[in-house]
Amino acid sequence: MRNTLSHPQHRALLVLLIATAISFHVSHDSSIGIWAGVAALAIAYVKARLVMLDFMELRHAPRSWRLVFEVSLLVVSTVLIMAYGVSERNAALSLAADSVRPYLCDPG
Amino acid sequence: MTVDKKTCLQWELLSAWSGVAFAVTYAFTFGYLGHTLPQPFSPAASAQELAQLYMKHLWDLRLGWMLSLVFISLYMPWSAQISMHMKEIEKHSRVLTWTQLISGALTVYVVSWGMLCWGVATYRPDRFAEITQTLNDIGWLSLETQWMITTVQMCAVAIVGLYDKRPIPTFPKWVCWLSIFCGWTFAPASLTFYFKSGPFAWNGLLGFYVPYAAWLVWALVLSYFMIKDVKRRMAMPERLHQVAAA
Amino acid sequence: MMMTTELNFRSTAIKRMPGGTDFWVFVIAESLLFGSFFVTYICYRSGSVELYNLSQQALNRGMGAFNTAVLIVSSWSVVQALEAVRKGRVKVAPRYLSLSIVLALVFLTVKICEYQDKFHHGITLATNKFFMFYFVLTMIHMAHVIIGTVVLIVLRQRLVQGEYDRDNMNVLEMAASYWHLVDLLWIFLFPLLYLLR
Repeated sequence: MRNTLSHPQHRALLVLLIATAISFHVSHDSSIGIWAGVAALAIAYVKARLVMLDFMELRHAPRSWRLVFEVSLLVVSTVLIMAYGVSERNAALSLAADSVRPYLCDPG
Repeated sequence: MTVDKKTCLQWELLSAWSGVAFAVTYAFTFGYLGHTLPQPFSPAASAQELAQLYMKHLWDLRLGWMLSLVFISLYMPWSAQISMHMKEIEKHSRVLTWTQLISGALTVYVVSWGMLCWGVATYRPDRFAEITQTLNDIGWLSLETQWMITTVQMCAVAIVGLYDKRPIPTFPKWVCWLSIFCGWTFAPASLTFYFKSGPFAWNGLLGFYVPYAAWLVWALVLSYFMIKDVKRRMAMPERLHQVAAA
Repeated sequence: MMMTTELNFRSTAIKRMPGGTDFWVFVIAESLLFGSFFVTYICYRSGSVELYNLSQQALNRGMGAFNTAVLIVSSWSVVQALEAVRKGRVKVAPRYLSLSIVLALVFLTVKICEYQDKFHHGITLATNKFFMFYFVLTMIHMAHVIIGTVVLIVLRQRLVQGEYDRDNMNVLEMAASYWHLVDLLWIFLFPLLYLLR
């Protein structure tokens, strides 16, 4: 019998499902504040990377392609986490005064 | 005596270039004179505000739309040229070749109609502001919501290009996939019916910038490969022409 | 046929993009487009955090998480189908694709239930900016799921009819890459829409 976990794709599946459960559970914990959201996005990054490497087979892709995808994913994830973190912190600091919040773009 | 091969190929080359000429012209007439760049007039503007904008830029707009209506004609030989390339691949039928042709022709209608409305709005700028606003609305919504006509054009050439099994395909597969992608970036533009602000309005990221940029990239990339193909055929010695035509 | 087995069996020594680099232009373009959707969403959210957080209460996180799991398993199943074809076990492959298709239909059903629930409460994409993003982004994603499902159904049929084998599976690889992209996009949509608060 083959050890299921030795196969990278099965390992990836397990990690992905566990990670989904973690991010779902963490989001219900109101005591950790904005870290729930940060965690959710960071977990999304980990999950996306696993899908890219083990499902989309980028682990076996030419290095330049893999690099482009890895870097792009990291950049987008970081931008999202930072934007979320900044906005939540500012929203928490000032509930009413619009002038304090930095508008990243016109809320329209 | 019919037209000789060399002249025909020259017409094809000019037609392939006419797409580039169209894009450059419209960057000026639509983008600059039409004041759609850096951002189109907001759909959220009141009728009075919009009428004032039209008054303020009246001479630019009038000239821009007048020229746009004339130079949309460049899209016609360009679309015809795309079909010329397609017919070499779609040997046993012409259905996608002709679909592309029809779509290209109708894209001319979609664009003309919009610009005509805007032109009419500049004709009597002192009319009721609501009428100016209506004409402005019709123009924009014409361009935004009739996107499928152009998407069909783009997908038709992409599909035929994907099935090109010749040693030197006219349109490399990545160009075909890019065409399909670019064509479908227009889809969110239908949401312009629902929003007057935000990214899905006709002055928003997904209502304006992404689709129009996507079209531009597609047109330039396609023109490049068409020009390349016509030049290659021009450089072929005469007897190979006869073999290729067989 | 046997002599080509070694060459075609995926090995780490041969580095390639599954399905060929041409289709990956499409994958990259779609990723960039959706990436811009995500960043746009988070930018707009920054301007009205409370509104977004409040509106988000209407979303069912359990259903969102369930759907995430469904797509992940569906993606994994597609990988298994491709592995089966590569190993020459062409009879097994369609069953994995069937699983992927069924799971995709489950995803679509759950999404439709979610939308019904919203409409029932009078919430539409015009209600506010959060719901605009919720409906538009998930509907665009759903359109991708529907297209992917149709593709999987067609390819499963062709697989059963013997059109693909380990030497001729480029189209399968392209479809698989597309399906994984659909999964990947939802992996981001889920926390962005359902979990950030």
